[in-house]
Amino acid sequence: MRLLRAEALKLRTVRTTWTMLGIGLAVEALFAGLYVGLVSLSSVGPIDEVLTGTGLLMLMLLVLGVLSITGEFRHGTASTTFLAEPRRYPVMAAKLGAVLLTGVLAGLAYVAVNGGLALPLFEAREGSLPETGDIASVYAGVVASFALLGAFGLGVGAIVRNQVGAIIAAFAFFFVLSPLPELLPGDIGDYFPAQAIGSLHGLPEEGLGQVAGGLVLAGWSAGLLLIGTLLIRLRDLNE
Amino acid sequence: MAELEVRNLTKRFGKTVAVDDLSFSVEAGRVTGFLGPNGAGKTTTMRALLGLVRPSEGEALVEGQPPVEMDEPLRTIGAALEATAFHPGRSGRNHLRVLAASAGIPRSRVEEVLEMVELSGAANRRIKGYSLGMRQRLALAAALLGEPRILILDEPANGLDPQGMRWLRDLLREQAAVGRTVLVSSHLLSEVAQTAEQLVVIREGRLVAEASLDEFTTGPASQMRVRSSDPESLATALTSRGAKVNRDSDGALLVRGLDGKEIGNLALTDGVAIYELAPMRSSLEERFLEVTGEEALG
Repeated sequence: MRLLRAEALKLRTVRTTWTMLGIGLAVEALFAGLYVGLVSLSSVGPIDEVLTGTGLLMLMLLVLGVLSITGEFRHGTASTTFLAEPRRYPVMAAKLGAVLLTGVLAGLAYVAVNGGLALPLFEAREGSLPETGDIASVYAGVVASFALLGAFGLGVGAIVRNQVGAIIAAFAFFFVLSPLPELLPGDIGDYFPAQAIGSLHGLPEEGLGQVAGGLVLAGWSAGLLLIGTLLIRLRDLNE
Repeated sequence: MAELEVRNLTKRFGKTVAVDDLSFSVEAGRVTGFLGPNGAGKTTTMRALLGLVRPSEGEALVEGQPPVEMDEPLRTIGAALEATAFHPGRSGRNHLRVLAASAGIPRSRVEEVLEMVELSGAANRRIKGYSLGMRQRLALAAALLGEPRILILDEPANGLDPQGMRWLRDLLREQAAVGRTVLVSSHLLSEVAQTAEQLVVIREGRLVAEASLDEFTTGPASQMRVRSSDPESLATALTSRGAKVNRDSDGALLVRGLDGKEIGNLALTDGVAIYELAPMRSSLEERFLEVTGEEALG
């Protein structure tokens, strides 16, 4: 609990966190307003429209997850952190807790912005809202994806300690790997992280259901975290 | 039981051997200076004692235990390592608050240590804008936060102004006087000579001396100053007996390798009158350069 408070404090006390989430939310608001308010695309389903503008926030959380560990190595604060608690696992657990919490809070902020802007505009344009159940489950998926992406980033950062390298590696999973599934036979592609996020958000064109998509993404994050934490334990803390 | 103990510690980074079968111990109640030329392995040894570096062989023990198994680390050991190890975007106060939170130390203690290191005024500024001296003070504040029984400080005097140095010296002495264990590395030998009672000297990862400051500076290699009626012939006689003879600025002989009794006896057989025969305490710097095998310049 102490460690979780310390990790949360670490995230709160640097500007980067606020700047990144602020920009993410501002862009979200802009997209929600412009896209839903001004563009009328009959081909796009209601659920996709509700989701508009989440992309940047997702990346922000992924990067925040990466930074929460690579920043410690970049600035040499890892020494201090592991002096205060030499056992590696509890520290990593606290970091995980802090990024999950940040993801959930960012998710709730997203829901507030999106719900306050996109939904009324949508209603004004279409005359009615999508089913309440649909909206709720989409929102739940978004909140979960934010939290899990933070964990994903933390895992990648623990493996690749170099900040720039880790951010590139994390992005590679979503940008470099994302066209790959189409080349693969069967539905293997559904189990890639980017596709799993689509499923988690409840996008109809993605193969897995929301819960299954969430579990796949959680599995990726857990696997990366496990490897990362083992490496943190085995390696020296020299920068 | 020694508070800090290094037993046959070896640490290799790839092919480089940073620390090579090093053993020494550090006791409570006095300041122990940790000396060695750059790259001798001081920082690696300190990091091993803090559990930040895994020994390749041997062990580093804190109160008899491996450091990674400490229960209340910040209350046991306070450490100040490189002064650059802060997140530049965080304020000094917040840096300490994070540490305090992780060890369950009350916030009031953060204000106390800020006051102690005289950083209260700058505590809300981002560390990015701190001078080297301010960073050192913040690192010391962090080390003192948990009122630890053991202090491990790596070059704490770097970047401090003369007032800061004096403050640090007093602090180290006070901590030792109340029974705490203090291990300080420094390359400022005059600073060490003023604070440390005990010395651990290493070179190329190996121990070259573990002694009290007094023992170290009056070790076997210290010299005798001899003023006599006939320095020339005495010098010849001394040299023939294997002594190393140099001239002091006033023409007196500086003799190494023979003790007072041997020099006196030799002078008597040679018929040279001795006017002055005094053991010279070599300075810490001279001894340090001697044992670490670096030639003194000039």
